[in-house]
Amino acid sequence: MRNQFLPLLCLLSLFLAGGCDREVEIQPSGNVIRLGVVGPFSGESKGKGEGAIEGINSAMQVTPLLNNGDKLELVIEDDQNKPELTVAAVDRLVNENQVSAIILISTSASALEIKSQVNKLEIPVLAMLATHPDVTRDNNYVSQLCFDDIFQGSVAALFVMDELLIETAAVFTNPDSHHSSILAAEFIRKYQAVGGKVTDTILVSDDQNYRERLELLRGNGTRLLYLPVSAKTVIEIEAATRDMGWQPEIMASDGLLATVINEYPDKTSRLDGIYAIDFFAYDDKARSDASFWEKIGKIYKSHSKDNATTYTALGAEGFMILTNALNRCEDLQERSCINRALRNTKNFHGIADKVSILENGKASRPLIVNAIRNGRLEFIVKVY
Amino acid sequence: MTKYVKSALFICPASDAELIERVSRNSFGTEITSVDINDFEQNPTIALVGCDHVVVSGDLAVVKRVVKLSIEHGFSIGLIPQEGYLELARSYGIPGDPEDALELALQKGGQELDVVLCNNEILLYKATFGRLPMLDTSRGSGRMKVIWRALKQFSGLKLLKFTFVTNNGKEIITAACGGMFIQQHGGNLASRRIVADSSANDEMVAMIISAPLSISAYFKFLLQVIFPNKYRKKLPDTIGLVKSKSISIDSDVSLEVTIDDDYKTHTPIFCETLPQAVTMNTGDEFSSSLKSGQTVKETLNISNLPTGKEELNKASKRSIPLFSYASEERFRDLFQALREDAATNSTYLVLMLLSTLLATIGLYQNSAAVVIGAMLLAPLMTPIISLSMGILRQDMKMSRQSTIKIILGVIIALLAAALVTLIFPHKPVTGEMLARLNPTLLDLGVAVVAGIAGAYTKAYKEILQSLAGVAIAVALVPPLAVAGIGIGRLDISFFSQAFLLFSTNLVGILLAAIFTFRVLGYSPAVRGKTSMRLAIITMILIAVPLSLSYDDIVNKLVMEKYWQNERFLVNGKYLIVQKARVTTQQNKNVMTMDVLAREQLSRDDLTKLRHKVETNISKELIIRARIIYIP
Repeated sequence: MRNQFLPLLCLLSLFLAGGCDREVEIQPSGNVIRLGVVGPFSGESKGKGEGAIEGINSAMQVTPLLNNGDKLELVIEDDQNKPELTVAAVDRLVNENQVSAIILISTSASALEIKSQVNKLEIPVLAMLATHPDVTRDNNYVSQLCFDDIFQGSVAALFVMDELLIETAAVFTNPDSHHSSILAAEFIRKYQAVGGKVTDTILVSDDQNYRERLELLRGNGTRLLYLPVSAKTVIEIEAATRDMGWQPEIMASDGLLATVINEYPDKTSRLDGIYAIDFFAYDDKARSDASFWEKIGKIYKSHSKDNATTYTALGAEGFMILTNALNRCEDLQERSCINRALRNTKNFHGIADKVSILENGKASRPLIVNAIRNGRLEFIVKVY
Repeated sequence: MTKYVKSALFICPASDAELIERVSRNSFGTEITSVDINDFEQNPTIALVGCDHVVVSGDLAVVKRVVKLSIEHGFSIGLIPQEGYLELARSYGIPGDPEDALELALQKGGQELDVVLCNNEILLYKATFGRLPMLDTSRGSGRMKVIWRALKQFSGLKLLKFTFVTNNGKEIITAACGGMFIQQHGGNLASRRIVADSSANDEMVAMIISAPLSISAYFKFLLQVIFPNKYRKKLPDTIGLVKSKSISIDSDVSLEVTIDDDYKTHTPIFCETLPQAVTMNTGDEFSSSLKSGQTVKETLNISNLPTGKEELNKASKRSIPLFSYASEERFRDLFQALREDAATNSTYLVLMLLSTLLATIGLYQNSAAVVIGAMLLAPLMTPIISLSMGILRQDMKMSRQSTIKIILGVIIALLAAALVTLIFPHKPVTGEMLARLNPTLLDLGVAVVAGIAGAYTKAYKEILQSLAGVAIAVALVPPLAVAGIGIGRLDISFFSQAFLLFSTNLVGILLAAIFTFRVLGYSPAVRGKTSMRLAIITMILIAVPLSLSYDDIVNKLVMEKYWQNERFLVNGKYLIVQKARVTTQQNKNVMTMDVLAREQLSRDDLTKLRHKVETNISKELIIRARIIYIP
């Protein structure tokens, strides 16, 4: 009996062995490709920079070499999320460090500021967090990794109207922030277009007491507060509603939880129940291809006990997309080639789903509406 | 009338002066004459002058010497057991308190008891030979101790060939691991339960024979020992019981026989009963267990013992197997019933035709109730169960007959369903039909469980009514009807998928039933393995497409669930995927989505929607959308 089965077992073993994945080991070529990273590593927004660089470093441990064996090296510049410092940082990276491409962690104001500069320098820039729709306008070298504010604002309005079935909402906005202004404007436009009623638009400012305005909102039948404002303001408004004993639905914008975890970790529980748009969710069902995060997540977990934030995940994704573009470029000395490859990224399996970077530099990627619970982003729907 | 004897001899070691003194100064008015056992044996007649009662306190050998003298000289006996002879005291119900024991020993009017002689040696309570797992466990042993002993004794357990001859001349040739003669049954746990209705004056010697035919039977017996209340009524499956005036035993190899845990002899052994040969003072409990004036017939309860030639050869050749086996004689009724089930008759053919017609119409009607009715009517389960037994027991006739019966049934079903399809002017594909076109490993799981249940219900007549539930669970005829409809539609894919489901059920039931009969101990002593191998290979072959099909269904379900949480923003219009369903049509996967929209969608919107869906799906799918407008 055993003799009869032995050849069968051998065949089966061979068959199974043939099916095993075998990764080809890349031999180092001795060349170095420098990548610039500009972001806020000090100052008020340093949480964004620190989170993103953790993701970039984790991804770089997974992919330290390009397919041709060239070694990747990071050159990091701190701009404190201040546009004038970003310009100087980009200049240094290109002229002094001869980087091949730049990952920009700083937000839209910085991206808008360097638009013409990078066009002149012909240096590809992958803007990680800049969501302003004009970031990619009138230039050929800044590409976005995230969906833009128009998409986010529209989806927020339609989700509130068609899924939460709420027809009265108030909008809070910070006129000093491009991000906040555009999201608020787009939300209002779309919400009203589909029949929703915006009961009030409140301009936020430092040290504002929201209690009085919120009492009015409660009185006029407002059922949802749309808060595309800073994390600090969201926490203040949430605290005020809590003090009033009012429980309206609250919807916030991208990166809220990540910022609170980084900057106000003791306030995370205040966000429970808030709807937040983001790039990913912690539960796997939102990810069409969990393999992206598998290896990077392991490395990240080996040196951090916290959950990865949006900034970490986007940092890793941005690095991998840039690496992917570098691998597709035949002449790495020619930055326009890298830029072309970057703007020809198609269906890259990223943190939540496929990401494409279109020829005009805009990203095509799904947006995820989550609910924040217990310091985690819990998936509700994904919008393409 | 005084309750105590006037005078008695007291036999006790001279060294126990304290006891002699205590007995001599008894408070019951009995005059005691102390005598040495050797002196008593040399001249018992003189010692017994004016005295017909002997009180004995000594070791087991001394007690037996006194009993032997009692048989010859007819005096009555009172016992004062020595320390360390607890079993002896317990056997006769002698009180533990020395004063109470003395009072009992000096009383008049003892009980007339049988004496058992084994190879001329007196047996007072038990004699054992071979290995007796659990049977000789002392009364009062804890469950953990019983389990531990059972596990220890299990190692190297083997059945040996024995020949027993009873007083009536009945010869039993069997295989067993050991046996036990019981005269008094108070001493050990298992024997006390098995021979509870025996008594020490029924003129019979009881013999328990231990024959665990399999490991499973051994552990079942263990359960019966540790939970005796649940198994009180039935003789354990591993035990045979013989009661006769005399029993002789012979074994292939000479075995040691231990009488009353003390004296040792060897097989062959002959044990006989001397009816009411001694009069002895016994405790109340023991006395009440004695039977008076009843004639007890010789008893042979040996149906659990292997007796056929094949069984004996198998039993004595190797260590006990995992599952039991049986000769045909042991389950004659069941095998007869299965043979009848295997034979084709007109009733079967008519029922098969009717159930298929019913199933086919029910399938076209898309009526689950009618289809279930057809399942209940279908007689296909019985020949499959017969075939499983035929394969297990290498019964070629039963196998051949049941195979023919199944094939005939299948042909009738396919033809009937195909004919109905050809006659029907419209041939809709209903949900009931579609449900039978994607067999998976889960269906094999259902068939396996149903096969176990089918064999089990067949083996135990008292639960035969459950067979209807089994028939519904496994549903043999509806897939056959769908396959027949496939023939009528000239659709090979339709036919093959439904027939795969039927084959799955058939093989699943078959193998599970074989396994169940095997576990229940219906396999023959000598088994052929060819048919079993064939059945297992068939099942493996069927499992391959089923496994692929199962993976496919899981993937589809995952995808359907995944897409239920997806939304699209197309030209500023928010589209909600309410439901997604993936089906296979002509080997292509088609995803049909129910999409909720508030605004009128243009052709461009739909094109963009399709493009977005296709871009974000890893697999090749044909996209269909059903737009539901929300006012």
